[in-house]
Amino acid sequence: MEKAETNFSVQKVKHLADLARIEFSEQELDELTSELNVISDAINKVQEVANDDVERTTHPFALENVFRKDAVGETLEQKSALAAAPKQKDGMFLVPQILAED
Amino acid sequence: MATEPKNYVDYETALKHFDVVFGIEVHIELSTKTKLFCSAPNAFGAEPNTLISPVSLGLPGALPVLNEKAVEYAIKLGLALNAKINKKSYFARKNYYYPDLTKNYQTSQSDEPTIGEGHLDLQISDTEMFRIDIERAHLEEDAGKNTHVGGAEGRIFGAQYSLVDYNRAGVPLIEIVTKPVFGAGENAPEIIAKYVRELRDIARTLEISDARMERGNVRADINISLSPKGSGKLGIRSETKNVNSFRSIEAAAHYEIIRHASILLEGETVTQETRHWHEATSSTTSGREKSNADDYRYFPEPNLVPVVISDEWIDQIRAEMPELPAHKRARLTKEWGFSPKDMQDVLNADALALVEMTVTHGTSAHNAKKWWLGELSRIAKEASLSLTDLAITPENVAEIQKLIDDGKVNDKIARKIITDVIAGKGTVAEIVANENLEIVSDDSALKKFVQEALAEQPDVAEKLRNGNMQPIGVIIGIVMKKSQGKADAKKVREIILAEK
Repeated sequence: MEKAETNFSVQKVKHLADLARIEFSEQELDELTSELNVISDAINKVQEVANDDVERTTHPFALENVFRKDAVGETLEQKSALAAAPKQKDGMFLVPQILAED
Repeated sequence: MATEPKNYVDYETALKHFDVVFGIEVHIELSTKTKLFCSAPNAFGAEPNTLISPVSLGLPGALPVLNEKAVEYAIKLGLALNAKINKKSYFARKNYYYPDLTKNYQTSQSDEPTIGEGHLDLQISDTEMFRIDIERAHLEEDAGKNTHVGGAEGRIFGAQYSLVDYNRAGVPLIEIVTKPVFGAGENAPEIIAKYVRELRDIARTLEISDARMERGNVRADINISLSPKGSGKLGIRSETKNVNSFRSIEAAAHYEIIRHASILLEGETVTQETRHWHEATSSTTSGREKSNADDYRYFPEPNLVPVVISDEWIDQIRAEMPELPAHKRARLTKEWGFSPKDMQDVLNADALALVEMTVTHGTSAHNAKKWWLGELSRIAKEASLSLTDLAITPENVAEIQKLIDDGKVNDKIARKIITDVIAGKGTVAEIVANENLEIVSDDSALKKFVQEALAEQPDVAEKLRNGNMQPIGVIIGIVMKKSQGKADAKKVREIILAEK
């Protein structure tokens, strides 16, 4: 089993926060860092007893193959799709200039 | 580190010093009726933001449900690629921010994709095959479409704002990733294009995608790196994105090999980055650096449960698999009595399906090839259309050829009928009837024209009577004119010989 990330550093948490576009104060970063370390320690504790014969669980319910038939259903009208858009133009969402490509 | 060399070496020099290693990622848009995780229609060309549901917009609380058909299509493709179909696969979130992505993550697959390792063998000459090893193929959703406004030629740089249409958001994609490919040598660009073409053909044959390059149904990202000849070391790669014609794929790979070699020979290091292909200049330009930007923080998608594929499901799909393109090409080459070159010409013209259907409607393969690669290719090229977009069907072509075979029209009239069909002047039968195009095969009418022509040209008539057949063309020409081009020249000749 893969170990969870241990020893979150403040830098690492800041990097993750930047990737998630979330701004934190230094105090918040410190708090989050110690909380994340507690969580990862707990996860690793569980990993110690979970041998390779325990299958990974990504879902609380033991479900598989929940499928939908390939049949067209209802769609939103353009007007309602755009209803909450701060800005729109020609039936599209207008977003600010994008700086980096892909 | 350098993105552009000071001077460019030629291709031969590049190949003399370096081994080419490449990897290809191909995205194929599936032609399911609905999207991957919701029942909004999967269609092209609709009004913006009309083919969407709360799921494709990523509205809070909207939950994805997997389209069973998309999984079936993935299995089909997996079988065609001789690949391992994973018994259990999972979806994952690939996190990044971009306006065409409503949820700020793309639902994709990470370390346990539906399709595992496989391979595809490409015929690179009459006798040689080249194997491309496939690492994996995974299901994922497509993003929406950004239109950048205000910048030069719709490019992102200098744009004032962007407009987003989410009709494409959530359309099912399969991404097929190769392992690094070694040993292609100077043929690397050609092999890369051939590989993408083969995937396109397979997707069409399996009917899992419309696979139209010009609509972006098939998009290729090409990774190129060079290593010093014989060193076996992997160099630093560049990734040229979204090149969407076979010709451009080949040209982009060719360009990148030269660019890498030129930088390396100047003693510089290649920058690891994405590159953008420009059709107009046949070159690539720097995109963004890739070094640490690819921190996608994949994690399992909690709203989707595992996909479990039973042997029965696989067997059922296997039993319904159509004949694959490579097998079909070999079979048709033989059945049609084609040389490998004949077949290659047909393939290069993207005309195999058209020729095949024309043959199905009763035309000989040789004649079908002649029309599609000759007159029809010429017309298509003039109109900047692809052959399939011409307003003429293989059935029409077969009808026209039958008129020739039955001696009802000559080659010249046949061409006129083709032009008229494409111009929308009616069906083949209507055009022939309305314009009175059928060949004049009425002997008495032709006989009359021949007699008139001989009378008009007494000198020529005299020569013919004395056994000098050289000027016979003059009489044939006059008869053709009198019949408004509708006479069968062979028949006219016979009548002249009888009447002289």
